[in-house]
Amino acid sequence: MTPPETIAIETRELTRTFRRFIAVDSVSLQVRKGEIFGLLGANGAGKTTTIRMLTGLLKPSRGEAWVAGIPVHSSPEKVKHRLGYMSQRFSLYEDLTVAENLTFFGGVYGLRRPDLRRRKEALLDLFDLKDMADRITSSLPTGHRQRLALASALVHEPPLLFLDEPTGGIDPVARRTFWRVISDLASAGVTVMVTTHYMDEAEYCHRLGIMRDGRIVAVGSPDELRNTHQVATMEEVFLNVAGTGEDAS
Amino acid sequence: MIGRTIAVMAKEFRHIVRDSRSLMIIFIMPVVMTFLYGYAMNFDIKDIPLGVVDQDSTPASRELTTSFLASGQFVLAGRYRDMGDAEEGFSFRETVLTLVIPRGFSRSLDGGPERPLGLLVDGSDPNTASLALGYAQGIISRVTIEGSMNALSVVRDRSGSAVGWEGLPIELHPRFWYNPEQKSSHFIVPALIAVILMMASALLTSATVVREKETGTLEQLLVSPVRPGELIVGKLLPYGVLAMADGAFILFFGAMVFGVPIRGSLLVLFGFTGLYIMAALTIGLLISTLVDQQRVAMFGAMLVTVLPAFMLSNFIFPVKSMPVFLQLISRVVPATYYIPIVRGVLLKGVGADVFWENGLFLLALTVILTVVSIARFKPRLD
Ligand SMILES: Nc1ncnc2c1ncn2[C@@H]1O[C@H](COP(=O)(O)OP(=O)(O)O)[C@@H](O)[C@H]1O
Ligand SMILES: [Mg+2]
Repeated sequence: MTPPETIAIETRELTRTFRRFIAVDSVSLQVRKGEIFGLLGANGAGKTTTIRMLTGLLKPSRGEAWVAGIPVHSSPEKVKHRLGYMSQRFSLYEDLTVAENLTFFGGVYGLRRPDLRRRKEALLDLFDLKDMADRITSSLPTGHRQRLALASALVHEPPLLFLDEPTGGIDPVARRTFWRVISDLASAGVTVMVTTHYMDEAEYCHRLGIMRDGRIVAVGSPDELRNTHQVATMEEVFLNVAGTGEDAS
Repeated sequence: MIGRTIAVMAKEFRHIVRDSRSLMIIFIMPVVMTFLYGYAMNFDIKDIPLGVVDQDSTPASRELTTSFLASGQFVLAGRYRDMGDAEEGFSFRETVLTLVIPRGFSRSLDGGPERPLGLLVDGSDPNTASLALGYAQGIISRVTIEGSMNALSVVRDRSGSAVGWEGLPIELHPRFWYNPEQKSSHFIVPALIAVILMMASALLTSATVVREKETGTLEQLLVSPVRPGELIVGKLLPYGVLAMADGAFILFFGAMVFGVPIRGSLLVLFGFTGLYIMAALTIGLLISTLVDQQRVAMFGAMLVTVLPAFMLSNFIFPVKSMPVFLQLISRVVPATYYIPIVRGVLLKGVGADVFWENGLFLLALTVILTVVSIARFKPRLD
């Protein structure tokens, strides 16, 4: 049993229905602090809905969820300062510049001016966006947009990070740098829950939850999952538990 | 927290500045509308076709007819022998008003037995009819009052019947206050300004929240600690500044083009206009929080602002003569409270003391709608 203070995210029987349709079905899981937890599953498996419940965007129909020790099923407001969120759909202001987007989210998270300036500098540096700072966001290529979206999610240095398909539509090189940043964050103690599209990205995760039809059908580290299913690759694990060997998309 | 509100305000200002298309619309649409409606909605009626049944055929009766034609409000469309004839004039839409001068009219001016004049008016267009009737009564009372006041100076011909009046010791000069030329534009344009301001302001805010739903940015806002109140107030104020600039522009433009005088204090006018604009902005904002599509929001904003501002605000149609439930609705239409202010300040030069109750209502409406918007704003996606 893991001591409770090392648990960053915990759900019990978390369920969400849309009318009669069960999008997420009795999901129970634990994510440790500083862990990169990957949610894998085909389109429609319920990954986004799960993340939305954990971030307070959707109210669970049933079950409970604690994020950073706060019961988000009952008081989602309290956890908002502590989490960073990158939506599956690009959701920054396209008519603002790169720097203005960072300024806005910094302001919304209550950063004071000197802190804000420092954070902006650091993030523009980290994501190699310095010379793009004054570009209008709509004119950025996809890879840069995704970097900006992650930068905006990190502006207030949240201890928890929820990333919903953060590498969708960007090239492999950019994806690698993206994952390096995520790994560094985790090493620094940030808990990351990430959903992904790509099987090879599963390897970057410390532990994985494979979802199918709203249920978690397998949980474990990539090695554990391969061993249990006695296969060599994650694709095969996925084929076994989720019924498809293709990309999780 | 004030910091978050300021962050939202700064962002909204940037949206406004970047969105040059909306800015254009906001400043050009009012110009077009003011022109269009200002000229189209002209209620000055000239050259009303007049029918005359002169059964008296005396110089006095001819003089009365001449007074009608000299007024500039009537033109002679036909002379008829009798009422039956005159009726045909109506049927063929030759005449709108027919003056019937009975036999003995001239003698009645002279102190003979009273012979009432007849006015027949085509009531199928009540507005024109009542205007025509008003004009006619004005002319007749002028002529007959002058006539009776000057019974002694009635000019007679050799046979002793009256042929006219001259050397009037007293002249009647009716004066219209506040709008001496009786231009309907002076009456219309201030109210038109009210309607345009209402529409432009509500349109501005109607898109703000729903646009964020459509583009998905709302999701990013909802995971942030920003509270509904901070978001709503942060959105309201920048648009308030923009709408105020728009309001000043529309006011000056309308006044200039149509020569509407600005008799009262600009400070008072802007103060109340600010309240009115805020009420309009909150209407737009409330709509924006309630619907899911920008189109729906903008259509809704048009619908709930323009129609009531036109129809239920005493702009043209007196609310008093409407069914009770429409009268009740008119009580919550901001234009009902603002139109008397803008007309009063522009045309009469009256001050804040006369309108403070109206201002109070607009303020209360703004507060209520803001609170409702905040309450209706869903802090989650579902
Ligand atoms: N707001 C909603 N209303 C109705 N059905 C929804 C809604 N959101 C998601 N769903 C359904 O729930 C299921 C899970 O969706 P989602 O969580 O987005 O899956 P994933 O992110 O794994 O692709 C899908 O079948 C989707 O159609
Ligand atoms: Mg998804």
